[in-house]
Amino acid sequence: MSAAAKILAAALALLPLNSSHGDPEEIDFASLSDFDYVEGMTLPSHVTQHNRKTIKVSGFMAREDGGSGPTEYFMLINDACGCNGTPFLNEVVFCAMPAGEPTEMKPGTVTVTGQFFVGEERDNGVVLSLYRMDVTDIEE
Amino acid sequence: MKAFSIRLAVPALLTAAFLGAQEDAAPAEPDWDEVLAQAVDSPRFAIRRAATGKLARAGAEAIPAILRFEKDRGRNELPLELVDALARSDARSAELMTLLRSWADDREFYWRAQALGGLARRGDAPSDGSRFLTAAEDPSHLMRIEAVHGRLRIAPGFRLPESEQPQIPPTMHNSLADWNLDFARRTLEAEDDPRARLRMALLLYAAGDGSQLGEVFVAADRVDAMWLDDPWGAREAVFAVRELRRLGAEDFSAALSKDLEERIQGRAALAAFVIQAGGVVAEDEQPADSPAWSGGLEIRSCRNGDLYLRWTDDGRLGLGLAPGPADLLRVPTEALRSWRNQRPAEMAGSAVHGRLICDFVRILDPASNEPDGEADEDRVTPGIHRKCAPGATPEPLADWLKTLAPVLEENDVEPLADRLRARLPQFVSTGQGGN
Repeated sequence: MSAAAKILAAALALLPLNSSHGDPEEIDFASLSDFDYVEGMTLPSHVTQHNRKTIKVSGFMAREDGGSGPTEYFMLINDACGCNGTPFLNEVVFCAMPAGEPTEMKPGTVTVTGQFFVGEERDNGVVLSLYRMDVTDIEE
Repeated sequence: MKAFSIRLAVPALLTAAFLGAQEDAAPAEPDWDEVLAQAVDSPRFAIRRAATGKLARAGAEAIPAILRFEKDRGRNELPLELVDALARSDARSAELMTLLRSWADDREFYWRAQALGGLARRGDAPSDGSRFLTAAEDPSHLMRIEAVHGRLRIAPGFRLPESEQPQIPPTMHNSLADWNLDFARRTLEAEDDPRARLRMALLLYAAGDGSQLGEVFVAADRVDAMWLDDPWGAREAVFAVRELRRLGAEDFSAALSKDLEERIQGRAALAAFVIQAGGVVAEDEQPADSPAWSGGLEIRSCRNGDLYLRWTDDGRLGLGLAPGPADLLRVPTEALRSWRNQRPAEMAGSAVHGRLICDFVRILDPASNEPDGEADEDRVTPGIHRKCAPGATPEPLADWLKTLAPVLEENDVEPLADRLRARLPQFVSTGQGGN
């Protein structure tokens, strides 16, 4: 094996088995929300292991601002109706469409694929989100 | 990470800075009108949530601002987050109790069930006893759940007012706790919504009565249940297992496992727990040969109660999330087909109409092919998938939906026609989308 090939093989060996560009990992809200979230806590490994991975998750689209029409940002939630109470932060995936590519809101269950980010996102002490996703695809 | 940070920068920083400034300036009285404006108008969910938490912690101090807001902008502009936060807070001021009662009694208020839940949680307010009895008959399953919740949380020493005495069997007079347990069991017995049955059973368990825990077993068994495209069974099963854990039971999540062997073992452990707690493990009453549902109508209404209706291509109807034998109805195949084929062509495809906050109507009916005697090719009726906020259903769609009730009525399914007629008007277009 040439020196260049050895370097390449070593570099490949260092790559994670499931990179952010591999097949999406399928996850669900049951797993994302099966713990009682408390601000500042260490998030469980079964959710942090998905950080920066490409994932696929199903749920209902809801606009964060309650408005209507196409949007580049939406929340993915587990229940179409919020009547059962305000969702906890670990029950919401805050989704962002590619810049300049707004999506129409869909009426039923959708499966959203994209790069997933896990962790408290804060602004001046206020936790804004736990789960975020840069969306690449929405399937109805 | 894409534009999230950029997008958050301006509104979130300003809002968070505002909230932070409120925290730092402890000695000064916060401007509750301003905090409330954030709770209502911030485009960010988390900011609204943080502001409502602040208002809830303030309790009585913030209530004048809420009352001013109601007067200026209308009660139904108040967000769920605020009502929920106040209902779940520890505050017990007279002002807050008055406000919660006013909300719970307001039939037109979207979040009345959350307000009733707030009264239930406080559990020491004798004057709410009759309020819970009335709520047990409410069309909203959320109100019925809170009715049971409220009665179970009322302290045993509480005595009903004279006007309610006839409803209490004389033998129960000296044991209101027993009467309330019996009331909860009877209310559950009469309940046909599986979500409400599950929650009532868990409330009874929390009150020391495990006799209805078979509902938890049924919920776990329905983990794969779907209502068209909605995996409602998984949602309920996860809730059931989580609530049991919260109430001190062991973790039965294995009963929901995707691994069959693990699920069988978890299911057996859950069954043993239910029996030990005094419950009965019964088979799910749903028919084994579940019909092949092709389309359906979903109405979610905290005001008038939910309605779930599915149909098959051969005219069978299924009422509810988990229709039992009595919920399976039939209309002539041709009558239903004819109605489905009249769906407005301009409404084909999928879309959302109006500003969705909570209540909605959703119609989902796929494309259908039918032989056309006069043409070489089948006649294709395009599929439709629409979700509409109250008052925001486009006229052609509303007109079509309204014609379903007469079809049901003409084919001897009057009670269902009546339920539909009672719920549709909330969604007929007024030119404004809203809840």
